[in-house]
Amino acid sequence: MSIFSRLRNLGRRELTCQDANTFLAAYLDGALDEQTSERFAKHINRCPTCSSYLNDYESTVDLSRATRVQNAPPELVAETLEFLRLRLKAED
Amino acid sequence: MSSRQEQSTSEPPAGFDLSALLSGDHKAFEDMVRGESDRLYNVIRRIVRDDDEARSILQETFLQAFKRRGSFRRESKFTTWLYAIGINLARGAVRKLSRSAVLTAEEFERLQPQFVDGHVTGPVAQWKPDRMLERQELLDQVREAIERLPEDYRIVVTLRDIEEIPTPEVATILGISEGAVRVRVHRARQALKKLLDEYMA
Repeated sequence: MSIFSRLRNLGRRELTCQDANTFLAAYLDGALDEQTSERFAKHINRCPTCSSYLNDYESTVDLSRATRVQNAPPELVAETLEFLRLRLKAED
Repeated sequence: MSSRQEQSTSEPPAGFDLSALLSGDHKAFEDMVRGESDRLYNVIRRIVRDDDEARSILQETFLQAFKRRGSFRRESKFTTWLYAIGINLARGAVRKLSRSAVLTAEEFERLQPQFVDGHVTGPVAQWKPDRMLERQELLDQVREAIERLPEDYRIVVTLRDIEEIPTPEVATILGISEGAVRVRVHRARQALKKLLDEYMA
């Protein structure tokens, strides 16, 4: 089925797993319109595969976030400022 | 099921005087450097995957931002503009570094779910909740998996999911549409999820 006929049909029929998958990122952004959001929720509530996938997908996002490093090297700012002062002075 | 309404979490502490900076004031510039160094370093470090290279690109980013401040048009936040400079420099540098561990385009594609007639084909692994508990080992696995993502995907995961920069701002930094950011981050998350399946399922 072409992408155009898929989009045409999208407004009428129930979402497939593939449709729901396509909406995951927009769903997490809170960017789905009300109607699509309802249809997405309806599919997720009925489909154990997609419900479990959404759960693990959200965990993936949470895990990425948890890898954030807070500790840049302590001397980083001082070194950077020293470099910039020298360079800007040289160009004055 | 929960919806994640993102607030703008990326605004730095208002620690510098933008007007003074734009008129060339060194103190305002240094205040900005102090406020932005750590976070921008971490973003650049993710792209180039090398500590020394990241430091050097961080310095060059600030230098260029200061020199080119006249071209900042206030159409975005100053930090958005700054990140675009840093990411472009990092992308230029990364080509010189080893890419051995990075997934090829084909390998990346194989990590995406496959659908026939709207249904998933093949088994879908389900993660075991107790695997989330072995936190340190797990996070090492996640870091390693992120490092293997092809550059475009690694960048978008770094900005959107790790640094939690809102989608519209990521779009401005990368010069692509919000829809394109979502498609890219979605594919990156799916690949990451699949890479972690072995450990988590």
